[in-house]
Amino acid sequence: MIIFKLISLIFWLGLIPFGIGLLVSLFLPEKEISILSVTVSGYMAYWSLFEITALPFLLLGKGVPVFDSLSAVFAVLSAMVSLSGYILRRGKLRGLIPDIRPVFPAILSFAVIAFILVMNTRTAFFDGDEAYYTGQALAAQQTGYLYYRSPYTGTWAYFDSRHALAMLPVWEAFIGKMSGLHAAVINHTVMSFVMIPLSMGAAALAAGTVLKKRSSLCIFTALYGAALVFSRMSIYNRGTFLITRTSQGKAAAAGFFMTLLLWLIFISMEQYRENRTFPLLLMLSGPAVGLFSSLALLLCMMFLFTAFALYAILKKSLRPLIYAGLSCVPQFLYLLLYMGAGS
Amino acid sequence: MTGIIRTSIDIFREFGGGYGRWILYFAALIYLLYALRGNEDENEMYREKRIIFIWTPLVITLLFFLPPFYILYSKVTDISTYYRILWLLPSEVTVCQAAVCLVEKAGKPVIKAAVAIAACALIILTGKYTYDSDIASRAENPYHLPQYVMDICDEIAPADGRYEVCAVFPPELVYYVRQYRTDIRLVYGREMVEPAWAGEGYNGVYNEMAAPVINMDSLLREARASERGPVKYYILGNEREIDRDPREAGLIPQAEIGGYTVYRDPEAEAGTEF
Repeated sequence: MIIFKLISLIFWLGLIPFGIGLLVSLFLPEKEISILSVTVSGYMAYWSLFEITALPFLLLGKGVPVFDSLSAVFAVLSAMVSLSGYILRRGKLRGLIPDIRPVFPAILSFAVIAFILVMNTRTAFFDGDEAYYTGQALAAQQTGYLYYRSPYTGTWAYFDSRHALAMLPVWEAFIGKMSGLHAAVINHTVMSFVMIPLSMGAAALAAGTVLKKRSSLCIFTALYGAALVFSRMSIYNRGTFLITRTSQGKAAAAGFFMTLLLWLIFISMEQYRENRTFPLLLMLSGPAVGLFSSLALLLCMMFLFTAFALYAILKKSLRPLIYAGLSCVPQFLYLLLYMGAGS
Repeated sequence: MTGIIRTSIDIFREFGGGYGRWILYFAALIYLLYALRGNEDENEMYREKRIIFIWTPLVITLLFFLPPFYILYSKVTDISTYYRILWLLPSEVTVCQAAVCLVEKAGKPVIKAAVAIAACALIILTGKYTYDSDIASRAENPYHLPQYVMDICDEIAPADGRYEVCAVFPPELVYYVRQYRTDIRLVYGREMVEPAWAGEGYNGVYNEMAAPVINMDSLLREARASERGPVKYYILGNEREIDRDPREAGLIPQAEIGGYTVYRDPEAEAGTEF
């Protein structure tokens, strides 16, 4: 029944990542903790956890239908992590209830988000790559094999090492399995309700490093939404990818993660100033971007190192670069796996 | 070297769909350089913000146009993805941030509203409405797949979940089949149809299906010899030019859906087990 599917979606796409976000908020500066930062960072950690859980199944389960086992393990693991977030941070819950005054700018920003969601739900975009991404998600969901059958023909294929490590389609298949919905419905309808608000939330967090008033952030969100809706002056830019290829890893990387990175770097620089030597938040983000796209992982490392190199010049010290290097340990491990999987 | 710089400029222009958004972005960068200043206690924090929103994107932009960087990129990964470096430039965030900073500085609420509306107008005028593009169409179902393709797949799919059938679909429909059902195997798929990959493989069945006039005898010969078979179903467009009636070639029409006829080959086996 549709109501059970809806409840399941709310559970796996709402309650679970929010609980994980409560746990992640232990690493956030107190003044940065809000319902938005908890949700966004919770999703980042949710995706990181999936990538870390799924990689052994992918690499050790070649030629074996491992998806059901992976789903069971991840379901239990994510539920446990989420529950510990609710238990350990239960005192924080009341403080996260958002204050939406002044009302008009808040209504404006929600109206823009609602417009994009309605339009994305009623519009089908043709993209050849969907034959790959939704094909892989459906193959995982219905046959149990991960990247071992051609998504185009269904015949047995060589292990696709170039794309296999970026397992967002498998996560989408997981959501499909847990909710009882077809992977194509997850990818083409449900994912808009995840990725679009998260991407706009990440943008608001980044903008919030400069804009402090609530009304200003609401106006920013409305303008940002307009920028996304009017982004098709090119098929290459982030807005176009996010709107028209919402469920694809590269769209998630471009629209969500690369924007979130701005906020993560800002927080990390703040924590560096406070002499916290371990860049936990940035390290936690590494597997998430690997889930989206191997190339995006490299590009984000490039941005991170450039930012911290400039910071090192500002500080007249090499320590920020060491800090950046530490934050990229998960990325380096991923790259080793990528090169090993390809050989 | 100059060829590489010219290529980078072309990519830069195509990425932005011209220069309108880029002008807006760099104008916003310059404004933020002025706006992101604080008092003595806040200077450290504002320097960090300038690093993140201004200096790092400018360094990345510079690297993008440098030929040695282009060459390095081509050695690391597929050069056709070079434009994705520009994803690192937070153009939308920066433009909207700068616009809101201006709104904050405006005095009366009427002027604030005017500045916000002007910013929105600039964003719209330098962009293009995404939902009006040639790849957009009204979704017929939550799958966002053509309903007639789903109906064809349901028509030919095996009733028993343990088996899968093999089918030949027209090139224009192969994108959708495996997004809907995994119990239908295709003799050829997107790997043969994608224009960018033309010439990268041989598939006799695809060659026949893509020919101006389908030769039924050749098609059946290729399909029956295919390692990916046995092919049980052939989906042919009703308007498609075929040298003779498929029924004369031994195929049995099973259904007509969405302008296509589903033919069954009685010579093919029932299906192959998963």
